[in-house]
Amino acid sequence: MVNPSVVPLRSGIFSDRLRARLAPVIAVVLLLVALLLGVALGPVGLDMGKIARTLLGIHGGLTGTDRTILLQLRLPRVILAALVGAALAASGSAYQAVFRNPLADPYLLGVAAGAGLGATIAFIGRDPGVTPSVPIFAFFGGIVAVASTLIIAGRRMNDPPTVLLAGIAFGAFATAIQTFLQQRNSAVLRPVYSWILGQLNGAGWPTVIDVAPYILLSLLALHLLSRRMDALLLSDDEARSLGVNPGRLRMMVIVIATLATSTAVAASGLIGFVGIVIPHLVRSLTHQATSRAISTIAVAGAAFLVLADLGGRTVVSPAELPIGVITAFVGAPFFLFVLRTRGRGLV
Amino acid sequence: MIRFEDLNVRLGGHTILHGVDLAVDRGGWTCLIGPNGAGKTTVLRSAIGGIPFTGRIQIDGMKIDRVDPSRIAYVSQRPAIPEGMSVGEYVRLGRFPFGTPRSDQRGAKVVADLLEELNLDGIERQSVTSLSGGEFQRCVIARALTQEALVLLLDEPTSALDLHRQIEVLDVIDRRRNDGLTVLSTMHDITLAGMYADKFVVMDRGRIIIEGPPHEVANSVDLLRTFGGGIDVLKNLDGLPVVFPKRETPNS
Repeated sequence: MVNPSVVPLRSGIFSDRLRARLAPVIAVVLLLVALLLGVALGPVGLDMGKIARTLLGIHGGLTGTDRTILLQLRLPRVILAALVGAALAASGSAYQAVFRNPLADPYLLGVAAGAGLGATIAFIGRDPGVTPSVPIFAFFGGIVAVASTLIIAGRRMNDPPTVLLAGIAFGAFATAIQTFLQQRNSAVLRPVYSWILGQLNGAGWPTVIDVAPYILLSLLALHLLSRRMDALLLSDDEARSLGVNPGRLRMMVIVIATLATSTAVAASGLIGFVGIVIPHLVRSLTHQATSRAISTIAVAGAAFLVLADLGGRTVVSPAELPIGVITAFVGAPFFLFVLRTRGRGLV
Repeated sequence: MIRFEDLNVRLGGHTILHGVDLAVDRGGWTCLIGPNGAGKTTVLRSAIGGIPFTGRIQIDGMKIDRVDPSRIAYVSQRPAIPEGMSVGEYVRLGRFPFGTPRSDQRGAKVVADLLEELNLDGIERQSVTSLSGGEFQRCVIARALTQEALVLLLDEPTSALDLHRQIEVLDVIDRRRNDGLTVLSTMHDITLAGMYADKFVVMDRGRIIIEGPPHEVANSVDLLRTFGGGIDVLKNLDGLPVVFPKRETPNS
């Protein structure tokens, strides 16, 4: 018999169906508001009406420096934040589904360690500072890490715990090499540390154009696979009896989520928290445990990171806080609040 | 119907099944009986592609790899309990092969009927992680039945159920046989199995020892031998076998 006081009955004024339908609309509105605030606020405040006119190409928009700030600095930055946020949140949700593990995050299979090692090698190869090769090295570092993890798992690639453990072991190995390299090249300590904390400053249109195709294609693929991913919430045998090949589907999702994560890491460094908290938060608020919420999760992740970036560059303006600090600083208490106040549990 | 011919399974250098031949007619209910490790679950898992095998498995005369896997529903002995999913969401997963809720027009009614038949309608919005073992087992069976499959594979479907729920749940499954559902199950409770199955297949160490109508198999020496003589078999008023474990007391 279950103790009635702890039975997480779903209550509330909204039915589950209404919540599921409203959630994507609310997430999109939230993203639009975040984007608008993201371009309007900063060390130089921009008029929202004029921003709209400029973006729509109507007469009476921003001119001069303000126009440059909007089009060349803030717009690419908020769009990059949205893309990275969407990629991290959706990948996190996908990893949680394929590994049947609520603690799975986008950096799980050694992406973070691999990308960190790649970035460190890039920093050592050049003068200290952000070099164009850092994102490329980070991207390949992440991809190589996941590929190595899967090769190490070998024939047991379809066994989630084996893959997880292989990822942790490979991550530790890559981190050890990274630490060794840093110790031998103390000049790169500061730039590597700053990159690890995540940053979006200096992002321009070229970066957005570089990352957008990978992230948007990955998000589309995850959306198309989301209904099939529901079957992975069952055991592999049960999934098979629903007509799903769990091994093949799991591998496809891992490859796609890794591509999205590595691209995001290459563009922005390591931004924690988004990939684990946003999926749980959205699923909890929408009462959807199934993967069908993945598109809403992506949009919510985008909105969250745009707002976090806005916080990062306004709180101690004109200086900037690393975005990874903001995501954890704001996200963690909010997540804990929801965890405490919701009876149902956050999964 | 489902037919297994010369089914052999080897895992980790050990032979788990030795040339198993078995057929269950359309609308029939066959129950696999035998001690732990006899290979009963392996027979079921081979039919859903969960285990590599040699030999042949056919559904209605078609080779298994040509049959849509979703036409074979499976109730696992150890089902995964998806975190945070409601009873309704969980049971609706059985309609996955029928496409989106919009395209699956009958889905909502099939799910609602099963929730009611298995007394789950009162807890539809409750999280599956908060359920008792018996409640969750009813959810698993409801999910499998919403699939409207040709063949239902049941691996110990009543192990967590109260006595009165066992009959209730098995009756729901039994009714579906009139629509042609073929059932292959494993059950440790031979008495309960005898109330529903029209055929018993006794297995031991990967081989079929004996098969036939429940009352014949239950009274056979082979069944007694398979369980090392540790069972007693009686008959109830309907002539059905009542099988229970025998305790060797020091005075006997």
